[in-house]
Amino acid sequence: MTLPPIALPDEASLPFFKGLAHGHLSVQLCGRCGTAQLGNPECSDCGSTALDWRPASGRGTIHSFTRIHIAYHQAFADLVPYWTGLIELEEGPRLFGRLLCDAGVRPRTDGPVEVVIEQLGDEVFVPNFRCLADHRQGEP
Amino acid sequence: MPAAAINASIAGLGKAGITREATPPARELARLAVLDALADAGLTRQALDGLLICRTSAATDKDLGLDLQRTLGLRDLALLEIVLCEGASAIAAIQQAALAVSAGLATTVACVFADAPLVPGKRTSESFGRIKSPSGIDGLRYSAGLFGGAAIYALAARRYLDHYGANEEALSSVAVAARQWAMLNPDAIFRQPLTRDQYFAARYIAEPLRLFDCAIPVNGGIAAIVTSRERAADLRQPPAHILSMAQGHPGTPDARGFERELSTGGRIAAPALLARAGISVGEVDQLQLYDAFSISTLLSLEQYGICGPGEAMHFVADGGIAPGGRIPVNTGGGHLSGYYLQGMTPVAEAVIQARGAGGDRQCGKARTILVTNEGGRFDYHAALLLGQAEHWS
Ligand SMILES: [Zn+2]
Repeated sequence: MTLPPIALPDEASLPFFKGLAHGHLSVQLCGRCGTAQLGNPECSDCGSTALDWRPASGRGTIHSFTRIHIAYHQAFADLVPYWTGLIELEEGPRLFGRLLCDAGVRPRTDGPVEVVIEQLGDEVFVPNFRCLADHRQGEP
Repeated sequence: MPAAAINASIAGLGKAGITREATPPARELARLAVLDALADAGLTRQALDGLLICRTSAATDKDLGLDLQRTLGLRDLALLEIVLCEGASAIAAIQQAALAVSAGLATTVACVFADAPLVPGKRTSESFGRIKSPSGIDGLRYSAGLFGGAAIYALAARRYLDHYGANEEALSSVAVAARQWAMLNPDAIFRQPLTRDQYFAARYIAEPLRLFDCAIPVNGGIAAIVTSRERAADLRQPPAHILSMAQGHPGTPDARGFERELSTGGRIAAPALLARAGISVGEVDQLQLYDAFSISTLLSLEQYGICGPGEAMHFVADGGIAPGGRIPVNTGGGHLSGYYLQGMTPVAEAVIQARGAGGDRQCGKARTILVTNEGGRFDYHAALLLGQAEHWS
């Protein structure tokens, strides 16, 4: 199996990727202003370095999404066309993740998702998101 | 302290390649474009004392670097730099040239961009799916399968359409208008008519973006010669004066409460750009916008106050930007139907219009022209107001 290009943890995001390997999604919480964020060396809002990693709920909504029809990378050749998007976590920060949809469920902007951590290689874990059945799906 | 006056014009425009066929590599295209721009201005290479080089973010020194100076045989330069601001690099370079000329650091500066992504036997998606640096949280885009600009702009388009309750018709009108202009431009790549049905019949690249929502890759180079207004007045071509310039880089967080996809750096640059020229947006005669994807045109119309938020799609659907519409936009066909040479595409068309050299596509009014460049995920933005010499003397 060909692996997709994997995000290389930098110092500020290393705990995030370690968390994925332990099966949970995490966010940084600012000890001064409370802003939740991802992978910052200092708070994006107030500049404080008192940032602590906390487990995230794993729930969120779709900020935006797309279905990719071109296999830009060999790792996605068998998946085309595939859903992917930008997810807003319940805690506030947004991150990219593939969208997994059961039959009859389609992604919807602002629709609910929950994280599914996928192991791609020995020490490679990525966050995907399952689109949850949504009572608004049926609306015109 | 009053703002320093900008005394600079674009006095020469050169091109090389601009083709879907195989070409020499980017460095050679850059060399040819600079020589063509010098010839266009009626200058020899000895007149140049500055060279600013732009390249794609994936290119390296091997593709196009500072040694372009030696390749061109340029001696004793007063200014030499690679300008890296992603899609905003071309205008950023012209701005730097204009500042240098105005401050007396250089007299005549060539700004050049070149790229040769089309290689026989290689799929275009290989060139445009290139990976920047997959580090940190942003690196998740690649494991999420978001390669190239189309995927990123598709997210913006989806957000825009859903935010304003619109559908893909909003995008189709941009693509069709661009094609109508391109049909009037002999240098455009796509010149056959594009109907709405043909637009919708084309394959998706990244939903909601279809083939004709995306820029046409070409191999080519474009160079612009920047010099003072006085020197420009003595050269071969009617100068396009640089009336004002601005940049805007929002740095918007990826978090709740922000709309990184709906608010570009144009929001920051627009008021500064207009105020520096002492004009209102109503006095702008035409717009040459960075339209690598159709959604960019809609966002730019709104950021620059041509339309209110969410109104650009109606403006465009009513024919507002097509030939004969309310305001001419991307009169050469832009990136969508003309050719994609990043920030130099709109710059070149603005210079052609300011000279009155647009042939069948020349607009009646070209006194004041807005030119924009856009890069990253709407992270980097640079803009110019160019003015026709006879109107802005
Ligand atoms: Zn804080």
